[in-house]
Amino acid sequence: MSFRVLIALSVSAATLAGCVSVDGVAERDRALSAAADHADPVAPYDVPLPQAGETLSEDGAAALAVARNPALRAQLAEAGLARADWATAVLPPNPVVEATWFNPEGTGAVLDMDVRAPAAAILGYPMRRAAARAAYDGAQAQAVMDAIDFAADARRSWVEAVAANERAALQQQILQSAEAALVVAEEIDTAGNAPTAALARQQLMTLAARTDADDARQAAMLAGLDLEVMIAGEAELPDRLPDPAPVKVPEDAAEQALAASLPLAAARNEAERATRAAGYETLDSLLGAMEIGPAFDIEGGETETGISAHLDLPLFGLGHPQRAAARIRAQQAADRYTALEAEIRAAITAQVAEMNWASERARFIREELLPASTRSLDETMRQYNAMQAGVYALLDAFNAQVSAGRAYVDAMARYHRARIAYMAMMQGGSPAGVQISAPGAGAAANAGEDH
Amino acid sequence: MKLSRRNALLGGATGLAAAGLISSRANAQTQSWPAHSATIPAAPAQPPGRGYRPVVTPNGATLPYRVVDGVKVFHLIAEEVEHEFAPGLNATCWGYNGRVHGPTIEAVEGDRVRVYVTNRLPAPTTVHWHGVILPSGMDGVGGLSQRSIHPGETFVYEWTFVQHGTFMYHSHHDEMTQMALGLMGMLVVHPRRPRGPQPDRDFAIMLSEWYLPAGASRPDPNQMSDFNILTMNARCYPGTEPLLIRRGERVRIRFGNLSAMDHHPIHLHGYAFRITETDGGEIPASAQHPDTTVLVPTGATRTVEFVADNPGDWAMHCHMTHHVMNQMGHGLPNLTGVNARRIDRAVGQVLPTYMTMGQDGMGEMGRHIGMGHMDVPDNSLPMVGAEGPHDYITMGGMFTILKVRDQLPADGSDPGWYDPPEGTMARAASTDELRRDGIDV
Repeated sequence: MSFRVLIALSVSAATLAGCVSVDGVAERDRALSAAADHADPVAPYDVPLPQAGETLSEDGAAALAVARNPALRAQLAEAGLARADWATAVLPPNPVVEATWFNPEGTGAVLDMDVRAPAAAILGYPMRRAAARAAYDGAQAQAVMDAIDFAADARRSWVEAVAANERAALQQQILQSAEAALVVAEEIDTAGNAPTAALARQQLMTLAARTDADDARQAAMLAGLDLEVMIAGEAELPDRLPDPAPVKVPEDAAEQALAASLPLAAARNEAERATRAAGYETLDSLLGAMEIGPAFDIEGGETETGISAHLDLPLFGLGHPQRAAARIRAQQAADRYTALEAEIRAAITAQVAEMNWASERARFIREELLPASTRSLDETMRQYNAMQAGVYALLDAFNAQVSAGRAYVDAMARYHRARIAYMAMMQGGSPAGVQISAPGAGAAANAGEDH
Repeated sequence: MKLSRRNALLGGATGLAAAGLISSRANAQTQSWPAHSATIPAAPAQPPGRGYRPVVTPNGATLPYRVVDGVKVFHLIAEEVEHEFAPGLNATCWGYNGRVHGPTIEAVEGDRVRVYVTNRLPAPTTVHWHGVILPSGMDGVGGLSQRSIHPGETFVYEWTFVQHGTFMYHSHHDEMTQMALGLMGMLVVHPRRPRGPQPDRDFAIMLSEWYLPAGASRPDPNQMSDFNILTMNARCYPGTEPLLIRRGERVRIRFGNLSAMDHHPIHLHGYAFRITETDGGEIPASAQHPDTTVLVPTGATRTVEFVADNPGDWAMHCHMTHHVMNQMGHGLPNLTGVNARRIDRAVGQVLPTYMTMGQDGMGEMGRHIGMGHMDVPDNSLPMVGAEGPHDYITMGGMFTILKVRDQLPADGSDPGWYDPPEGTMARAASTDELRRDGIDV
């Protein structure tokens, strides 16, 4: 190889180095735009908080969270980092230049120069480049999924905050009822109409109600804080969760979810990357740190060329562990893909079932249980007016009505959590990790499930 | 039975004599039957007696009869009846001939009676003639005296009355259930030869008790102690018909008590009466004592007599205070003396229509309901009363009014409220009066 050719190659490489740009903001925008294609809403930036008097809707919470949350921005930066890795990977390996110049006893300069490049990098360049591309695609998909999942998390946080506020309001009514009963007990005690034990009993019940109300207020405060963190701001929430709206579930929902699934696509990419990386690793482990390239000896204006090679002698290992590890990683990625496919299929089925169950439970409570509790209260009031029932029985009937309202809030929250998880999965988000348990077991409502 | 000429003449004479009994004092002595049935001889039946002043059963009726071959034939039909205790309170009960309680049976000592009993109930039944001396097999105790009358069957009872007095009839099969649902009635046997003047007014009143939860429409026969409807002739005040009496009339009131568990001390305002008779027979005049309250034990009759010489509207009621209330609730918190406003404010925060009651008794409850201030269960009565001429009458249950007037409407209708003469009614004391009499308020 002539020196002239070498210079020409170097210039080409330098030029090539500038062709794959890395722009973190552009990568984030690309991820958000792709997420918007899957899910709605994933809003553009600068989504303002609701005005005074306006309440924040579930959609608004999702849009604000995606637009403003710094944790999501940090997560989406991974896509930029992956692009940087790709940009590195598409470049040919930099050659190593070893030059020795000496002028023995002033008789004339001698320049001894070797230019070498790692053989494995040269031979495995296509594989390495393809693997890096796959990694980048995977990172992009992950970023899109992160945006979709984050929007779903924001929705869940909104649901939990509204539900917690409703529960706190209902618990406050129970407390008011207990305090009213306490007033009655105090008056009866003052008038000398009952033994002190009756007052003591009512005081105890009132204290218990106060504790429950405090717990509910605390839970509402924490849920509200969680939402504020998500949307990076404060907002006023509506008084109640919206009633369930019909969600048309296609018969092939599982297949559609699998086809749209970004985590599954990422897992597929990862499996392909790992397979390619395994091939490259074989080369790398065999060739080790071998470098090969042309050698030049320039003396007295005359250039002699030859070949220069630099390698590690494989006296203590032929790279078997490396190759085995690469194969294991490739199989691991394949197994993870299979497991994820099964998980997604099960999760979508579970979410549909949960959505249907909770919707029916909410309907039952709304159309049967709540009216029955109202009728019971009305009839008890009539019995009270006829002096057949006392004031305590009346307040008990009131408490039963409030309990029915509490059950409705729990059913609604459960429905909305399932709906959000289902929609996110249909749009390509990750499986919600629904706890598949008997109805009622989750009624206390954790604030959203982990991915 | 063949009617002999002698008997026919005797029956006619009795009838003629009866027409003059209103003002005459009969000299003929009626044989005073001892109370013990063993000493009562078996007497031959006599022609159907008609010489008596028929009893009035307020809110009730008398069972008609026909005479067949000298026998008074009655027909009782035991059946389910839709009954009104008072306006606004109805229930599905068991009674006779479409009535609760059954119609009063009237006969005359010596009458041969034949009573057909048709059972249209869903359960077997019998009829026992309470206090009547008759053959054992006619006594009506199901399983002991006779087989019970199955649904759809008609049995016949027949006997000759060998006594006179005030008696009762009632089911004697599954008594707890059937009597609790109303199967009872009064039975009056007039003397063949009355001793002393006949009363000008003769009333029959059956006392009984029921448990009917507010809003329910069938009495609960399983109740043993918490009865909440107390009745005279199966009516509770304000559903009881007043007893209308002209001033100066001789009045007889026959009480029968077939309450499940309670005796009733019936108190009459404005009069002292004599207790003249039990269901065992007449009380000799020397043994009659004056009283203003007659205790009528459960399963017994008591008859009182007096001359209505004190005009006015006179309350007559059981003096057990819980028996003059309707559908009273028990086991409620005692709110007497509490600060109702404080409670209203506290409870009103969760129940805006709530109003504290009972802080100063129950007297206002009925009026509030009557004025529509409170919604109460359908088919229920306020615990007490009705509007009176001067204020709300805070009575209910086993309560009625004797209206004694100088003149009564010819058609027998209610003469309205008594208008007391000037100076004979309690009123607010004037300041001058208080000062004059040294009353320091």
